[in-house]
Amino acid sequence: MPSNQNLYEIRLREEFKMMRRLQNDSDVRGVLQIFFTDRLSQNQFGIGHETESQLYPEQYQVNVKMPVYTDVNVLNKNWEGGLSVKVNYSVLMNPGSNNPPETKLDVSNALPFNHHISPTWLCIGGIWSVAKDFGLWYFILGCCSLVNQEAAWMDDSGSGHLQPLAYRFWKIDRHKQRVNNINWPFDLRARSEGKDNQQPVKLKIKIGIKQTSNIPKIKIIRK
Amino acid sequence: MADYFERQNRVVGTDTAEKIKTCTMLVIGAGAGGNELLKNLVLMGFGKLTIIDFDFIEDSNLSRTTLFKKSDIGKSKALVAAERLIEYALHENPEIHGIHGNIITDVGPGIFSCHDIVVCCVDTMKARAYINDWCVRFQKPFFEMGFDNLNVDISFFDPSEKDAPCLREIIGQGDFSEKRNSCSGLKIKDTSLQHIPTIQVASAMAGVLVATEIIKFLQGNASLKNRCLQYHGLNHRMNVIEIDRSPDCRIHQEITPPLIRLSLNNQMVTKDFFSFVNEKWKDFFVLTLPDRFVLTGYCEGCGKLITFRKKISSIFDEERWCPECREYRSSGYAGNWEIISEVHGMIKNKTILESRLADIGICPMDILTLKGIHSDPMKIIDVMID
Repeated sequence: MPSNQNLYEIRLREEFKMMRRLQNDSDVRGVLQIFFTDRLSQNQFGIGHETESQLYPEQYQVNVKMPVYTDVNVLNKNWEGGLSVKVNYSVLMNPGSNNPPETKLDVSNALPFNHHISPTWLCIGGIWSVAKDFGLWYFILGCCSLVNQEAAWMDDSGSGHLQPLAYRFWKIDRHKQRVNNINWPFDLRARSEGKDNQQPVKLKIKIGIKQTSNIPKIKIIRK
Repeated sequence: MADYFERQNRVVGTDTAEKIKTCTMLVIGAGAGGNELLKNLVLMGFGKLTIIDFDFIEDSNLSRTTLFKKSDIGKSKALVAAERLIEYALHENPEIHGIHGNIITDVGPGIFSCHDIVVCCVDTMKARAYINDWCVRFQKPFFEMGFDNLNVDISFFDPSEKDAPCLREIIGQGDFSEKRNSCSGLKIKDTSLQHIPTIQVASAMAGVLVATEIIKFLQGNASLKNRCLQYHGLNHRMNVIEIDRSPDCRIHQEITPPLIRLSLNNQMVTKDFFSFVNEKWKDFFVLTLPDRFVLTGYCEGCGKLITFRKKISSIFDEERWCPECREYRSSGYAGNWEIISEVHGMIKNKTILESRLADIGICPMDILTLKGIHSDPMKIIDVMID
């Protein structure tokens, strides 16, 4: 098909910016570590690094670290996996296409007890069909939610898919609960850039300690 | 010299008769519809034709194809059609060429720019979309046909006109690869696809209607421009549907750089190609390949290294099976295949620079996108090779 490579390069640049925002989000900072492969040198850099040319990356590596079940009632608290995601023109620029990014999950550390994951395959199902309207960052969060066994992303047709025992354990024993309580920033674009997403700090008043002078004094006048 | 067209010229006029002689036409698909159309064109005096088809003649084709005989079974449709048409041609100097290949993977899209009129006689939506998109890019008049059972659809678009619609307004924005691809993204064999029911009279009707519209277009009287004509054979009813350009049709929104033709061909060594373009435009260029190119893969079962050296769109899903251990363990192109989508002078795999352009999947008449990364903003150039 004729291609609009100029627009593609702009899209890649915007995806890169969003990946940086994702990395800086306080909710995922300890869970995800994002790297990119430079298109010119093929070297891998942390997402905070600048690209070596005007060519923004097509390939990202996301190291995921979180507790994951590896067998019935076996929770591996130090599970680490590597999610590799690569886009190309037809994936990113054709909204009518269902072709997802090239995706692979490295489970050499330990195979998650998850019916969407086999030693050689991560079944991403329909994640891209939702994520393509948002961007690659959303797709990565979708894949991580799948590893975290979040019901919204898991197939519940009863087939057991890639690991039938894992499906039974998740559905019957664990009542379709996710493993970790991570607040994925699916509203990343609405969050303020480069700031921690912490709750507003409340003024703490300690009894018995003199307040600073800029706090107005309230005098109650009784009539 | 015999005047074969004396009576015809009284219908079309001398100007149109001259256009028939000189106009170059690209006909994609030499199946039932293509046969009927080509026969009509050649009998009317068209003689500058290029015919493309990747298929071979089968038993079931013979009941609907006037150009093929029993002895042609197993031969290339495009090559046999061209050979037969040269015998039939009434043109004084026929230039009829058959190309055995797939319009998407085996011939560069530059072929569209070398013809005056494009006629699409294919049977897949993916090929229709591809042909339509390039006709819009090159602003080529584009005729399209389709038929099943006793029903025929034909349409005609002229993208050179302002605000003209295109076939995408009818078929939508998809890339239509899913029907012929497995979940790995690789294609599946056509034998597993269902063939639509059809009959000779439907293809004959399609061939007549399109040929008639081509003549009327050359006369300046095209009545189906930006329209779709539907013929229902069961009750001989015809509908004509007006097609308007959709504001959402992204094909018309594409902004593409001007196309520069280079007198180079795909036999050139890749590093020489870069020396040429870097010197010509004083920049460091990165070449975006027209399709991702798979160099090698290894079996995750036995570790065997498999050499592909093919475009990803040319690889069948069944090729993921390891020829050694027969394990279906390869995760496909996602993880263990070496795929290149861009080439430049600093690429790590230096054997690519020593290869010819043809060896990294570049076809004759391909259109190559070059990105000059030392310019700000980035210089993007589309070049067409011979």
